[in-house]
Amino acid sequence: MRVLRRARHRFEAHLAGPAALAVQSRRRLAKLARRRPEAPFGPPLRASVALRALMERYYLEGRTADGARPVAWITSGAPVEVLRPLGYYVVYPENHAAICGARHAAQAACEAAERAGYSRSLCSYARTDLGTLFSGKTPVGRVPKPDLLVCCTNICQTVAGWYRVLARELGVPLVVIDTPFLQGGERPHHRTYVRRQIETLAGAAERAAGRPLRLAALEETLGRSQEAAALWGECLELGRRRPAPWFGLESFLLMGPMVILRGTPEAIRFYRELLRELRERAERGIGGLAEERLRLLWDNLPIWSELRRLSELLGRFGANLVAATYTHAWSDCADRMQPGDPFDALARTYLSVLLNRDLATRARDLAAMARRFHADGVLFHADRSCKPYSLGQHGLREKLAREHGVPGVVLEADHSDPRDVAWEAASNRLEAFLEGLAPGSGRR
Amino acid sequence: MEGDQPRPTDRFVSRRAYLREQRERHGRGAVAALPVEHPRELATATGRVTVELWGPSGVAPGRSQAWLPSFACPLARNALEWILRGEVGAAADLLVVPHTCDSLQALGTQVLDLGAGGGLPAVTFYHPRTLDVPARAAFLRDELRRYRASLEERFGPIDDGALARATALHRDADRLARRLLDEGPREGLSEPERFALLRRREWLWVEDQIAAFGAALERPPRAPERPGESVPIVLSGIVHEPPGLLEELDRAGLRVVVDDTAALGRRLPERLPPPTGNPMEDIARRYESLGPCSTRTGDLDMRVAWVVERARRAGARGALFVVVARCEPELFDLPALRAALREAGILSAVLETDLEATLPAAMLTRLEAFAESVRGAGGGR
Repeated sequence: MRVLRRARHRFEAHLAGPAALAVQSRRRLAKLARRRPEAPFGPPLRASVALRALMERYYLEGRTADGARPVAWITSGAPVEVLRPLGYYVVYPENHAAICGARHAAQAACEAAERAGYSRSLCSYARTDLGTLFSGKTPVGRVPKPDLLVCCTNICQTVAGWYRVLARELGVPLVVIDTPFLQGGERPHHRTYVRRQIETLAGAAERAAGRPLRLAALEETLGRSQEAAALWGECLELGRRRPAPWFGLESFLLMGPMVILRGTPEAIRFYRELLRELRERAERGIGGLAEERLRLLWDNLPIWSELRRLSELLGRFGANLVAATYTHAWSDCADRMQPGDPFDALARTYLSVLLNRDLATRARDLAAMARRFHADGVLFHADRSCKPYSLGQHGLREKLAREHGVPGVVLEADHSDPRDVAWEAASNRLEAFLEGLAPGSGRR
Repeated sequence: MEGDQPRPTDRFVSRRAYLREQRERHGRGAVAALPVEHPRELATATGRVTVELWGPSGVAPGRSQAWLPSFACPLARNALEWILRGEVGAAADLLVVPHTCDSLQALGTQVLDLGAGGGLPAVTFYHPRTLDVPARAAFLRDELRRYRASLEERFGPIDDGALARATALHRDADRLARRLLDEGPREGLSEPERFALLRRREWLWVEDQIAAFGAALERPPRAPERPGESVPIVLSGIVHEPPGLLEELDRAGLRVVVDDTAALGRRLPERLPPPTGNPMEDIARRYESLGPCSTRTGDLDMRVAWVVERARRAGARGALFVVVARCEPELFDLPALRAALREAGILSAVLETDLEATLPAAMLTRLEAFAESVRGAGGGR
């Protein structure tokens, strides 16, 4: 049975599927080449076609993965490098929920979770994930069932509650990598604690996969993560150019491989290609917007269900999001992923992610980002579903305006559940803010 | 440190007056602590009373609105409001922020890093949440040492003898509080009064806790009720708020036989581990002996089994979950808990509180509907 599953998985995920996707990609690229830029935006990125193919292939691979190879469900900020050398197919429920949000499938999924008793106050990613699990309905076709659950608390404590529900529902082992919040900076016992847990994860992952983890393979995977993060960082740095060579909201989509394919050669190939394209555009003065009049920063996750309307509104004002704390969080780990002692490097990396750092650090980083990217203002998305990101933004906005003269606006919404996005109110507020930054600019 | 409204169960003394008296007569300062659990023995060893901030209920949002979005949890919101009004700084020398959830973590970093506390000094304590038992045990001990050092940095060295005495006193207080909770109603003490007394652990000096619990235990147990006089229930959730909740339970004929609230039952060890002679180790072992709580994570199956087993053992016919609105840790656990209780033939209901000044009418209606259901299900009065 397992042999048949493996054969089917190999055929669908590695032969027929990629071949069909390659044909489709060629067609899409040809179509893209014929397409004229849609004002006020600049020419579309070729990398968006590669991104789509990469994501489709990833989810296609997942459809037949269970039973053919070990499968883990894992939080976005967990040390996936431990799983890759053991042949795991890795599902990121947060990414899956974001896709549901962008494809307007999140509400139905959230409602399915709510019917099962999960409060509407809970994170919409968690509700989307649980809802798709209960209903079996997902826009990606099928999500494979896991052999192992891995949850890292560096992004929030929400994931701890969410994954222990998954462990009970699915009856599979759960490994929690608990990362103490770095109030006032890292202390030696923090690193020791996280390292021990990652070592425990390695043991659990070996048991579930039925094979040992080779240290050399772990180092190689870590090296790949580092390279992808560094390349992604170079892409993001190009946002400093005037005009920025891409429209910032695209970066939320383009960071996808950094989340779901971290540690793989595919991620490196993708970011090399993206970097090449962005450099080319920067050299030729091609911007994400035909006319860049305002340069803004974004703080927090995007509003997946409103990317289009938000793009249109910003575009109307000639306002580009030249940098975002969320996308940059996926590149600043490159420095910490130093080879030598992979478990220590992993502990250091995953302990120090953006949301595990105090507001003093976040305020400093945000001010530096505003300076480096010549930002005219900051859009703070107060995200109902992300408490650690959102509680503190009012103070950050005030501090940034007072100490650095960079104004900001707070927009209350939700990253996934459209019922918690009051678009009229949010867009009114945003328009008023943009009008204040560049009077009359939105009337064109 | 009370809310805006007088609390019906506060018939003994007010917190504010008590803390003033502690300072004036005994020279004891105070340490304010956010929920849920923190190593209170160490604060006691510095000679300070610990006063906990469960909100308080009924604080109208004002200055906190400039700091928090509308969807912040009411406990964090009210606590910040209280801090911003200067109430906490006036009574306490220090704010302790245990890492209970994302909201309280965010509140702590706002106070420490963005000046939300108006200069109120604060220290943090991180609860280990991994399921990896050896890693958790080692971290807990390291974190306790760090926490001790952060108190010493502010208040001077903590004498080992003073810590040993504080640990022993808290052991006694724990033991008596557990007895007072488990042994049920006492003569001359209404049920709301018994619970109000138990909740004084949140702000009484430890020796006063021992005296108060001891005195209550000297009252004879109340005579057994006639069958059907009241309906035994589990009270779970976060905290016995808003004010008036316990009185309404009493009026509705619901008797709490298992307290699984984060504020009370989950913080009282059922069995205290034997002392080791090393107070820091005793503090760690006590912490490890606590029952499961959503805010300290752990295994959900274990928590479900824990609650259901105690409900069965106590003959509970219903379970009432009083949840602070938008409290993610608790809300994740509810469906599994309620499903397991249902399977065990125990009805359950959820009351969500925004930590209002008094029990809102809608909450009261739900409570009455729940009381009718459990009475109907078990043939009670």
